[in-house]
Amino acid sequence: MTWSGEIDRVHIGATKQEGGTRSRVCTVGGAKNLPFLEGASEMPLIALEICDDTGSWSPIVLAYTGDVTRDAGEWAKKAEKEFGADLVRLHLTSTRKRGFSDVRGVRTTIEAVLQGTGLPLIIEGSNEPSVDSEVFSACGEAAAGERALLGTAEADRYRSVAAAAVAFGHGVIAQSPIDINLAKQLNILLHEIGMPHDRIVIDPFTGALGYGFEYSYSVMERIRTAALKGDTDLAMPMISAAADSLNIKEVREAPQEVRDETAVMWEFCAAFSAAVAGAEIVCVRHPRTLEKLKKGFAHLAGEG
Amino acid sequence: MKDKPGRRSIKEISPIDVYRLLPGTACKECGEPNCMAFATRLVNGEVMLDACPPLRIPKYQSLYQQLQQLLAPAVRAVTFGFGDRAITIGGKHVLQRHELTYHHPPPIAIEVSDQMAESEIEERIRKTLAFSYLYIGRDLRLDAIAVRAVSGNPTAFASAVRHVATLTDQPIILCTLDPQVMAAGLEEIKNRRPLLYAATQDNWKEMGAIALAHQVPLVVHSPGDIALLRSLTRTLQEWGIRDLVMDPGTYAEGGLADTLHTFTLIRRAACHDQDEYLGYPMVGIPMAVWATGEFSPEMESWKEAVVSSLLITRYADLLVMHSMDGWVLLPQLIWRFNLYTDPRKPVSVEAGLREFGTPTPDSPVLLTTNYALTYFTVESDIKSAHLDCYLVVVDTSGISVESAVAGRYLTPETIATAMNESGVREKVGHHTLILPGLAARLSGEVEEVTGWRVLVGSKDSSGIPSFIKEHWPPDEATD
Repeated sequence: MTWSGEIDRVHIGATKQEGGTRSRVCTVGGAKNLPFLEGASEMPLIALEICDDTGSWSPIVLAYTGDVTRDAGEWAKKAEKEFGADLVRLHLTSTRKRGFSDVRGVRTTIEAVLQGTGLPLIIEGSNEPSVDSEVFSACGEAAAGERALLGTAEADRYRSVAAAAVAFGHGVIAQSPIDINLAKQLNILLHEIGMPHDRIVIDPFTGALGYGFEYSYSVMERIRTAALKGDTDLAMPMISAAADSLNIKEVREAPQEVRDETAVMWEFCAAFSAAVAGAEIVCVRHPRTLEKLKKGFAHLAGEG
Repeated sequence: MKDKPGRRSIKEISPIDVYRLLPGTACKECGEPNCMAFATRLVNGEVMLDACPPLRIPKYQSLYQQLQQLLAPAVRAVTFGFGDRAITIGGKHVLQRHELTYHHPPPIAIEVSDQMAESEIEERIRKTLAFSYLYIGRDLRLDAIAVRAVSGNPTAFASAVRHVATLTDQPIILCTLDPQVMAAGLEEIKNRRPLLYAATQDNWKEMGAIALAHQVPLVVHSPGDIALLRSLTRTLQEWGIRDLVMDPGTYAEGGLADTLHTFTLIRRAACHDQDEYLGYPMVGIPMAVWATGEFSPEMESWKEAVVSSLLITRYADLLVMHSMDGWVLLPQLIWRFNLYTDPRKPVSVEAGLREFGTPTPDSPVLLTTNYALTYFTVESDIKSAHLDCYLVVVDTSGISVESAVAGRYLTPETIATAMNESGVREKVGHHTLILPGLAARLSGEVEEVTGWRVLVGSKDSSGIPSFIKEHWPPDEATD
């Protein structure tokens, strides 16, 4: 099949020459055909998700990862050196607490993570409109020059995050609720306030396997097909994180002796299928899922 | 590769094309208000031709045949097994799920071999039959048994097949490349329409003769060689064997990319190029990863899970597996179920009021959406905590709470309408509504529109029992 469209390339991370301190740059996008359906495809990148307040993080991940989870910088270091992540996705979960005000703490955390790892960063700020502006500008500034990816812009609250991204040279994650039209609309809104297309990554919202993942899967296939047919407002790379995978009943209630295996398998299946549907970045939380995915993606690339 | 340029995909057929060929009795026996409505549903792949009773009357036979030809899926539907347990595989119209919907979820067959001890065969079949997982009101199960001839001995194979047949009435796949061994096994269950695995470049004449003589479906095995596969199916089809299944070869690890590529090329040829010789169902054999046997069972199980997950996503119509571990099988069964739901309609439940336990006028009133996954999760958490309560189910077109809030399906107005129509206002004496945590941002407006006080509940329904314990009855002082 011949397509007229091509997916925009988005660079994440900036090296010293580019004004940052990252040891490498991740480039996603560039696809000219459907993944794995029509010849060669770029292998998806894997981001390990970490956070600065583990209160709501999966106990399975915390137990496996160990004490470093108390220190985001150390955690990020381990993500790179030990677990082999391509990117680190930092969730500033501390901002989600009621009455949050410690913006200085957010800066410190980001600085520690930048110190801890040379990998490109994805930074997930607040999800409370009243502190968005403060938090996102702190994120943008603390990572200035690093060409990070900031999240998450949504249809009714995208201004703060986009403003921080524009001001400090970062990209944004544009999330829409499993709907191709809303995804397109948000990209247009972001473009109108000054975000270039090559700094937007689409997050079509990914449900956990068994909890709506199939809708995410199909919307990813649709978005990619529309982009290849020439819709430039949808021609951005996609990021997928089935973030709820480790909290679902099937994992929580798995027999103790196979709970870890079940957790890893659940994250794996969603991330693997998302990649087949077109996601360029998949995000996971269990370090063993990362290891399994690396192997799986290498095999999809035809490497033994 | 186009063999019948006249053949059209179901997406190119208009309901009028179908309507013209229907008997036009307007009898409504199919359950539709008129023949045009039935024609539309046929073209949408939502109903099958056999749902029209008049078409089965002899005088309409020619119309029936024309319709069958017109609506024939790009991938032929093949049935094996007998009685209520018979299963149909293939029958696919499209390459991507969102183009229409996928039909006939791939059955999972569990393998046993004639070298296993009788007790091991019994144990594996017992587990296969017992495997059951209740998921959003559906019972997810394993579907079939594959008996492999490892011994190479006709008597041993026949005895294993006989043994299996006494233990289960599930569909059976007979696996051997030796026609003599196959004939011996088939003799034991020739009335149960097993699937024969497999004809190859070397044995196709003998295997074809067996399949033809017993009118049973046959797998064609040509690992990694699509041209050979196609020439074999063509030869067998021209010989009169129409119920064919293809095995393009399943490889794990370094061979995974080729496996995916081969399955994809074949399905593209069927769906896009209407290549009828490649328009047969495909069998994936994830159990092949066990062949080397050099790694721990856990490693092999992982490899098998990776391959089966990929093949469920990409075009296998039947899978043969070895592992029986829940952590391997459960995600596959759920993914299969999900992928084969109709993407055009979210899986929804009826909106309205549900009562749990024995609620009184003082019992709490909770609210959720009519997305099946959301609803059944909430239901299961309420039931397992033995709560007495009311649950208002809002019609959000089958969308989950978070997405429904974002997409404006769950709004203060739709909530107010649902509460009025559900009759919950008459059931309770209080005016307090518990909203899902993910709908927290609606709470102020909901209070204004409904006149009820709103408590923001847990984000996850697993938190409902402890939420009720802490917050119910509500503390009037904080009102």
